[in-house]
Amino acid sequence: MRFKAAEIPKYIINTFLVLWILFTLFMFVWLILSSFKSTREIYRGVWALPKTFKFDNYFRVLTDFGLLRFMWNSLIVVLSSTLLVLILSTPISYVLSKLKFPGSAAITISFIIGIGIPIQTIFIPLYLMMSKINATDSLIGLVWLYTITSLPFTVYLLIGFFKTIPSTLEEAAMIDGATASQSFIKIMLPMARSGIISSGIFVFVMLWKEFLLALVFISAESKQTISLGLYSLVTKLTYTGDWGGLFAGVVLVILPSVVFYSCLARKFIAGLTMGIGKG
Amino acid sequence: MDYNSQIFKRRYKSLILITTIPILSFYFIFMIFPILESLYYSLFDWSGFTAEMEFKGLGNYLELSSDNLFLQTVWNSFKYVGLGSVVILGITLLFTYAITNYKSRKLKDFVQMILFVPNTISPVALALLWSFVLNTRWGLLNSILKGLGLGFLARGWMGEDYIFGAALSLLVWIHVGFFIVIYLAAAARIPDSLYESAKIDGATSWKQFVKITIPLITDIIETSLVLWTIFSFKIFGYLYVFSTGGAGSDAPPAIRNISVQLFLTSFGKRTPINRLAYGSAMAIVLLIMLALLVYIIRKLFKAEVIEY
Amino acid sequence: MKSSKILLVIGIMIGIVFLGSINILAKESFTYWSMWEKGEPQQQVLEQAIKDFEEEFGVEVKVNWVGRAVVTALKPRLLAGENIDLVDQSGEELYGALVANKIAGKMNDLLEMEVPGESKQIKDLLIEESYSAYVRDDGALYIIPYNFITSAFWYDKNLYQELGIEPPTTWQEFLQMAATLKENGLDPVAFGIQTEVYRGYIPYLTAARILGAGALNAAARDHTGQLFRDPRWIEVGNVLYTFSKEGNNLFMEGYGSSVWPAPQMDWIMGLAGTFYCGSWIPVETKQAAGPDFEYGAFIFPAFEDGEGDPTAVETYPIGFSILKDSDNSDLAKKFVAFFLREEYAQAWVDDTMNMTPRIGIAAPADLKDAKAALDNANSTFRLNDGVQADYPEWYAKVYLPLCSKILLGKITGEQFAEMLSEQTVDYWEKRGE
Repeated sequence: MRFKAAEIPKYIINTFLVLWILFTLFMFVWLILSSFKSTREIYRGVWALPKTFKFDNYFRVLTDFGLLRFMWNSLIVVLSSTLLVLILSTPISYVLSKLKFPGSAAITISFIIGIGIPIQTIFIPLYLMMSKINATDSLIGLVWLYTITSLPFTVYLLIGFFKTIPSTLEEAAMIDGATASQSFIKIMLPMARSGIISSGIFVFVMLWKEFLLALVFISAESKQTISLGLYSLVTKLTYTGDWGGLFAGVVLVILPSVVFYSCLARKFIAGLTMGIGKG
Repeated sequence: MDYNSQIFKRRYKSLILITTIPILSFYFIFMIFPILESLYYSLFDWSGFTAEMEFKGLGNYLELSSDNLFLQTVWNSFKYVGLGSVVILGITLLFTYAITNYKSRKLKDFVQMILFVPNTISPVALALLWSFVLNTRWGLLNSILKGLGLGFLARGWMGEDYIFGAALSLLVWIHVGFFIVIYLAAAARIPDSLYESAKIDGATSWKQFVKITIPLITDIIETSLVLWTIFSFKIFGYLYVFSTGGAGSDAPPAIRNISVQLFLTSFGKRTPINRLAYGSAMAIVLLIMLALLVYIIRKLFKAEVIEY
Repeated sequence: MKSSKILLVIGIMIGIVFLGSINILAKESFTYWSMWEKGEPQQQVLEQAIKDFEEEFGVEVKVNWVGRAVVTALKPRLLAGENIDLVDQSGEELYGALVANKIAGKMNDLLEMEVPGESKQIKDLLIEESYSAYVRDDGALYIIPYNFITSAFWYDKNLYQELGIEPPTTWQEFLQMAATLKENGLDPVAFGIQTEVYRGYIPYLTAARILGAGALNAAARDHTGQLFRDPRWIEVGNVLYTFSKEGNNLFMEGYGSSVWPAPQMDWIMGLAGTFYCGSWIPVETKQAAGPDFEYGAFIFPAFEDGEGDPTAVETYPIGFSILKDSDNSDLAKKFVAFFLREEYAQAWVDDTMNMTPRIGIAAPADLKDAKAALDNANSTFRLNDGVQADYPEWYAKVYLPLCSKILLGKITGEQFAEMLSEQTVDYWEKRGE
C-alpha cells in the first residue's frame, strides 16, 4: 500500500489501537508470569521475568483455599440466573418492543431507570424481605436476586434486538391465523436467537464477577461464590505477604471467564451485530 | 399495530397480561419498592443496626446540601460523566473507524475480543493491577516514560492531583472494550450501498466515516451516552478498591462517586460511619440526578435521529 | 434369616440416627461470626479451640468464617432479628460499630471469670494495657482481646548496625538518624499518604507525645474548637511540617502518590530506613525480606517539652465482643474464657506470629522489640487516639484531609492548628449538635 497523506488519521489511529492491544496483552502475560514468581522476586522487580517457575504457587492456592468449590457454586448460581433472567425477560421485551398499549412507554422507562438503581441502596430492604421468606444464605436466594437485578439491563438490550426484527413477518403470520404466542414462539424467538444468546453471555460475564450482593447475602463458607473467594484470597494472601500465591489465585479466578468469553466471543459479537441499539 | 383494533384485543391482550404482570410485579416488589423504602428511611436518623429510628423530616437532605465531602463526590460523578464520555466515546469512535476498515473477519473478532476482556475480570484484581502500572517509583508508565527519555513527564499518578485521572484511566481501559462491541455492531448494520457513491467520489475512509458512519449510528451514540451516565453514577467495585490497600483505607475522596460515598456512609469500612438513613438520602439524590441527566440526553438527541 | 438380619441392622441404624439427632437437638449452642477467613493461620488456631471446646463441654459452636467485612455482613442480619452471640474484630471497629450503636454487651464480668481448666481469673491472666484503653468512663468494657497489636517504627537491625545507627528515643536523635540515613542514600521513612491508616499514624502520635493521650480525642469532640487553640497544636503542626517535603523531607520519594503496597515494598527492599506500621508488618513482609533482614522496632520519639508519657504505646487489640441481645451469652462467654487458655495463647504466638495479651508468653522473635516496648510502657492509647471509631465523620472530613495537607507541606503548623479549630466548630455546627 502506498502512503497517502489523506489517510494520516487512519495511520495514527491504527498505531494507537495497536499499542492499546499490546498493552492489554502485555498485562495478561505479565499477570501469568508473575504468578510463577516468588514473593521476593516480585518485590525485587515487579516487571522482571521470573528466574525460576514456581508451580507450587498454584498447588498452594488450589489445595489451601477451596477455589474449586467456589467456582462450582458460581457456575451453578450464574448459569441458573442467566437462564432464568432470559426466560423472564424475553417475552416482556418482545411485548414492549412490538406492541403499543397503554402504559407500555412507562414500563419501558421504569426498566431504564432500574438500570440506574445502585444495589447498595436497596440491599437492606431486600435483605429484610428475603429473610422473611428464609432465602438468605442460600444459593437459590442469590439466583433470585441476580435474576431480578439483571432484569432491567437485559430487558433494555432485548427490546433493542426485537425492534430490529421486521414486523411484517409477524403480521403475515397473524393473517394466517396464528395466535400471538404461536407467532412469538415460532417466528420471533428463532429470529432473535442470536440476540438472546448475546444478552445471556453478557449477563453471565457480569454476574460472574458480582461481589456486593454475594458479600451481604452469603456468609456460609460452603456457599461462597468465586468473587467472594477471590476477595478472601486477596485478604488472606496480602495479610501473609504471599504475593506469588496471590497472582496465581488471580489467574485461576479470571481464567474461566476469559476462556468462556473467548470461546463465545464470535457468537456474542454476531448477536450484537444483529440487534443492538434500536432503543 | 393499532391496539384499538379487534384483532389486537383478541390476540394480544392475554399475551400482554401474561408476560408483563408477573415480571412487573417481581420487579416492583424487589427493586422499586425497596427504593421507596429507602426514600422513607431518608427521613430519619438511623444507623441501621437496630430498629430504633428518629424522625428528622428533610434534615438529611438539608445536611447533604452543605456536606462538602458529599458535594465533592457529586462533582466527581459529573466529572466521570463528562470527561468519561468524551474520552471513552471518543476513543471508541476512533477504534470503530479503524476496525471497520479491517478486511479480515478473524482480525476483527480478535481485536474486539482483546478489547473486551478487561470487562470479564474482577474489580479487585484490576485495581491492584493498576496500582502497579501507575506506581511512582517503579510503575510501568513511569518506567516507560523514563526509558523513552521522557522522564520529565513522569508524575506521581496516584497522588492527590492525578488520582482522579488515574481512576478514570482504568475505567476508560475497561469501558472502551465494552462500547466498542456495541459500536461495531451498529456500524455493521449500515448497508454497503451507502458507501459506494462516496467511494466513487474518491472520499477517504476517514471522510466516509465522518460523513456516513457517524450520522448513521447517532442512536447508538445516544444509547452509549445514557449507559455511560448510568455507569458513572453507579460504578462501585473499581472505585471502592482503587488504591485502598487491602483493608487499610477507604477510597480517597478525590475518586469517589456518589455510589461509593453512600456505601461508606451507610456501612463504613475502616471508618465506622454507619449512617444508613443519611446514605439513603444520598441514594435518592443520586436517582433524581440520574433521571434528570438521562432525560436531558434523550431530549438533546431527539431532534437528530436519522432513519434509513 | 437373612432378611431379618438386614431388618435388624436397619433398625439399629435408625436407632443410632434417632439417638444422634436427639443428642444434637439437646445440645447447647452459640453462634460465632468471625473476622477470619478459612485457611488463615488465625482461623486454624480458633477452629482447633472450637473443636476442643465442643468436645469438652458437649456443646455446639455455630461458626461462620466471614472475613474482615464481618461487621458489614452483621448489620442486615441483626435487623432481621437473627441471633448472633459472638463477634470478633479490632477494638476500634467493634467500638465504632457495635458499642457506638449500643448493641454490644458488657464484658466486665468476664474479667472475674476463670479460664476453664485453669484456676485463675482472666483479669490476672491478661496484660491490663491490652484492654484498659477500652474501658469507658462508666467503667464498662465491651471487648476481651486475644490478639495484641501495637505499632512502631520498624527497621532492619543489621542495616542499622552496618550504618552505625542507634534506634532513636528523642526527636533530636530521630532527626540525626534521618540525616545519617540520607547520607547513605536511603529515604528515612517509608510512607504512602494515600493509605489512610499510614496517614493517620504520625499526626496522632505526635499529638500523643506533645499533648498526651486523649488530647486529640477530647479536642475532636470540643464543639467550641477551643482545645485546638492550645498553642501546643501549633507545635504538633510544626513537627508534621518537618516531616513533609517542604520541611526536612523525611519521607520516601514520591510519598504523596505512593499507595499500598509500595511503601512496605520499598522499605523491605532497602530503599527506606524505617517504616511506621502495626506489628503485623513482619508477617506481611517476611516472604520478601532478604536472608540478612532482622526485624527491629522502636517507638515514636519523645519531645523535650512534651507532656505525653514518652513510654506510652498504641494498643490495637483484636478480640471478642458479645452482642447485647445474645440468646446464649453465657456459653459464648465461656468460650471467650476458654480461648485464653495457655495452649491457645501459645499456638497464637507460634502459628500466627502475633502477640497474645496473655501474661507470661514470649512474643515471636520478630516482634521482640515491640513486645519489650509494650512491657516497658507506663500507659497506652488507642489507634488514632480513638477518633476514628468515636467520631468517624470528623475523622474522615476534618482530620484526614488536614493531615494530608500538612504532611504534604501545603500548610504551616500554625495554619494546621487554626484550621483544625475552625473546621471542628464548623463540623459540629453542621451536624446540628
